[in-house]
Amino acid sequence: MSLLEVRDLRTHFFTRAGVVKAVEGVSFSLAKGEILGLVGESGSGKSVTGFSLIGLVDPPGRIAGGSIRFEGRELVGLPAQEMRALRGKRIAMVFQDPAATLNPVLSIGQQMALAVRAHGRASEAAARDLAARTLTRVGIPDAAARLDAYPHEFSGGMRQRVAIATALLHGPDLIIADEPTTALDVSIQAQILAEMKSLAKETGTALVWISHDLATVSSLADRVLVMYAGRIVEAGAVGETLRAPRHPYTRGLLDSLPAMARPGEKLNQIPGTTPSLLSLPPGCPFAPRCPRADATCATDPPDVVTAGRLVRCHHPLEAS
Amino acid sequence: MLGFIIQRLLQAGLVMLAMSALVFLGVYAIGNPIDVLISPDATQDIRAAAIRSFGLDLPLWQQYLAFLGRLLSGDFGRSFVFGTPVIDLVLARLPATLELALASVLIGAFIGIPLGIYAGYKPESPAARGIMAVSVLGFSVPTFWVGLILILFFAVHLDWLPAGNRGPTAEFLGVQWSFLTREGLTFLILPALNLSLFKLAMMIRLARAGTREVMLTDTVKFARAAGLSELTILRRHVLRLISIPLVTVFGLEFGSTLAFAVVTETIFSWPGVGKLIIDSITSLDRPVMVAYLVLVAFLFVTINLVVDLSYALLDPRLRRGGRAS
Amino acid sequence: MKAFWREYRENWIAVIALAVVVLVVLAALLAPWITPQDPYDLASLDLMDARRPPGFVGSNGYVHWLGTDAQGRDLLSAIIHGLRISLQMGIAAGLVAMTIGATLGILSAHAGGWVEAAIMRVVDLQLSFPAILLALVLVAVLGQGKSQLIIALVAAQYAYFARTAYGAATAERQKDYVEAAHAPPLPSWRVVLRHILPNCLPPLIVVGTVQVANAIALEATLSFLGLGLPPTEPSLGMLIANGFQYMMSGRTWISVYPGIALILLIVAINIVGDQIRDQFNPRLRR
Repeated sequence: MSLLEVRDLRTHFFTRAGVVKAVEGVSFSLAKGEILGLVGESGSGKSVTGFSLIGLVDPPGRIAGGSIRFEGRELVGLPAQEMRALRGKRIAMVFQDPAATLNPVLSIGQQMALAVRAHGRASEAAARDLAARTLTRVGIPDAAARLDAYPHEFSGGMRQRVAIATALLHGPDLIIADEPTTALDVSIQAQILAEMKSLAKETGTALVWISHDLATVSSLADRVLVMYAGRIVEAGAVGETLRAPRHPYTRGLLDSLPAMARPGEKLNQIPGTTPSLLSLPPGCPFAPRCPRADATCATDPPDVVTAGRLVRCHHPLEAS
Repeated sequence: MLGFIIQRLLQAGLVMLAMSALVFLGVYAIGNPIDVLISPDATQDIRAAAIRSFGLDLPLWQQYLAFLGRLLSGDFGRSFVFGTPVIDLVLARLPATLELALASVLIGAFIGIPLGIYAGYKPESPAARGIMAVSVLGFSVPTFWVGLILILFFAVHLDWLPAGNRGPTAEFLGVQWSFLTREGLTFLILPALNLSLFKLAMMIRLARAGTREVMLTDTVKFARAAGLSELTILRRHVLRLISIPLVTVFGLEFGSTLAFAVVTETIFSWPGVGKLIIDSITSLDRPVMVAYLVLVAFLFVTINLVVDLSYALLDPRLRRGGRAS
Repeated sequence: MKAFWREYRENWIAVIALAVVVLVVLAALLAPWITPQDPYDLASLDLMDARRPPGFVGSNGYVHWLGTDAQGRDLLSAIIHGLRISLQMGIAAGLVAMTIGATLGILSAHAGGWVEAAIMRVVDLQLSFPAILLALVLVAVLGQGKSQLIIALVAAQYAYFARTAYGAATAERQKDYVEAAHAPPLPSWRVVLRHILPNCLPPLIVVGTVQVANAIALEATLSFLGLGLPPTEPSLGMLIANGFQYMMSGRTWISVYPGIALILLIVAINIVGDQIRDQFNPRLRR
């Protein structure tokens, strides 16, 4: 049985201006210990998908339909108390900017102790001990002594390690990481990526890695989901999908990557911008920006599944 | 840190100097200083002698220096009405005002902050709207009118609480306090409630604004993602994050509470310095006015200083000299 | 303007508040013609009519709908005249304070340097000092009377306007178009008049509305304490003070009705001010 089964997830924001369908019909599954890369531009619904999984969609947004099964248990519509008991214990989350996630006026030890005690009683000493051990695991030297330090006394990379340690405290089965390296220096990024990968493999924790950066995902993930305008447009094993993308959007994303371009060649940006989710025309949402679009794209594109890969397109690129 | 303290002390000294100059100009220079120093009933000879002995024939700046010197030695002259040294008069009444002000600030904080946090946590709920309506009323309705209504309702109509005066007191640390006796406490409730209303409104508003802002931050999201209960998040994360502006206002408001006590003390015949100043204004007892103003300015400056220093306790970024990014 | 009103109309409480304000202003303007009795004409008062409850029919045939006060004045007439005085004081003080405060604020934002530092230092110092105390001291020093009271109110309030205008003007100063306007040799005062002042007006209007209410409340408080206007010009605060001594004996109407009129006016102005502020503040919009 897979760890996580998401079926037709729809998360909508009911604003004054209208209903924003941030996530519209997303389905995927995740095995134990698997690393899934969730890729898309900002506004593609990848972060909202992540927040939906952990039940933290801010109003006026809410899950409007679909199902999220975690170890067979339905999370959509789960009472708030039961959802809270899962959060931090079985499903944890790491955010983008560690400077914003840690509380500046509480010491690291205090904050981690709160997270320890959120799931059961623990003595002051036991909570600090667990916190210190977890900090050591994520590569913070002299952890016990640094428990009384405040976030501003840590560097950006160290802060993110503290956040990751907080997520790891209870040994969760699933960690949702929402662009956790974007705010960091490039050299630190690589370190944290490597550590996250080895921690996940070591403990058998599944990872949903949300990122706009294909390069990061290609070095980390087992599988990749590409999202556009709240939908999955392409999914598959990371190597194949990024080597030979079948959706024109994935192709466009790859072509705009500096690392993928040949020297001397011009970078190809995808023309146009992401559409407003308030007034999405029927049919393929990518059609207005797509080089391969024609009249048929005004109708909903089919899911084409071949050899474990999914592409949602009327005119997919040929598998090479 | 030490530099910070020294800087604040210097600032406080400067403010005191400015205030004393204002008081001096206001009461001594604009008004007729003779009225301040000598009873109007004195004979012409005594007046002339007094003008010389107080140095009123000297240039203004010399007079100001002399005035400062007297202030520093605690000599505020004698009250025309009571004939006793003003400093004794004011100090004897100060505990009553301090007790009233303290009680009302505490009421404001202990009721206002939780209400404000709730209103900021669930801003759309009917309860939050009710809380905000109370806060708008607390801000706009004059204190004296609320005091009147409190008396009308609790003292006249229901006859539950006394309508005025201080009632019995008990001694503690050589000072008389109302809250130490059960009956004294009943005398304290209405005036303290009256005086706290403005503070209550302000605490609600500040706590609400702070909470609304903090609730949207990633800090709260991260705490939720770690599985913390909403109550723990509010108590441990939000309260600490909003406490810095609250403490500032809490302190500053204590100063203005002393000033607003003038109104409440008049309505409830509370024998504090506020009542004293109103009486002294109507009876033109100017030495008392001067003493009161200097005293309030002094308390004000001291409180500001304490507030500034307590920042450092609340914000670790300030405490350790900060590498804040 | 039309759109502003359409948005305003959405909040029915604010609409009622606005209606109350308009009604009170009209009543105050027309006071001499609509009140059944001239409360200052001592000849028309009869002590026989003093302290009568609401609905009492007086010796000269009036029905005293809200009762009479200790001098036998018709309370309704006294209240309407009191509102007139309270409004006069509040608006006069508010306007003068706004003019002085806005001038100081814009001047210091525009001049910069030591002018800015000096003015704003004084303003900040004053803002941290309780307004009522300042007003008390000034009234005590200057004596009683309308103009003295206005001076005291202005002194207690101008700093709010100065802060507001300063904030708005510095924000404007940093925007590019003021710099662009500086580039051609336009006289400095024209930049202020054309670009800075119009952008300071919305926040000043909001602060102004609330400060008029505050001035009315402060004036009432001072009058209640016996330090406001002389007894020949009874504002609402004095009416309330006069009735205070009779409250214990159950003749509550003498204080309560003027008080209700005062509260109604102050709260209504505040609600109108809050609504305008919310509409000016784009951050609160969704």
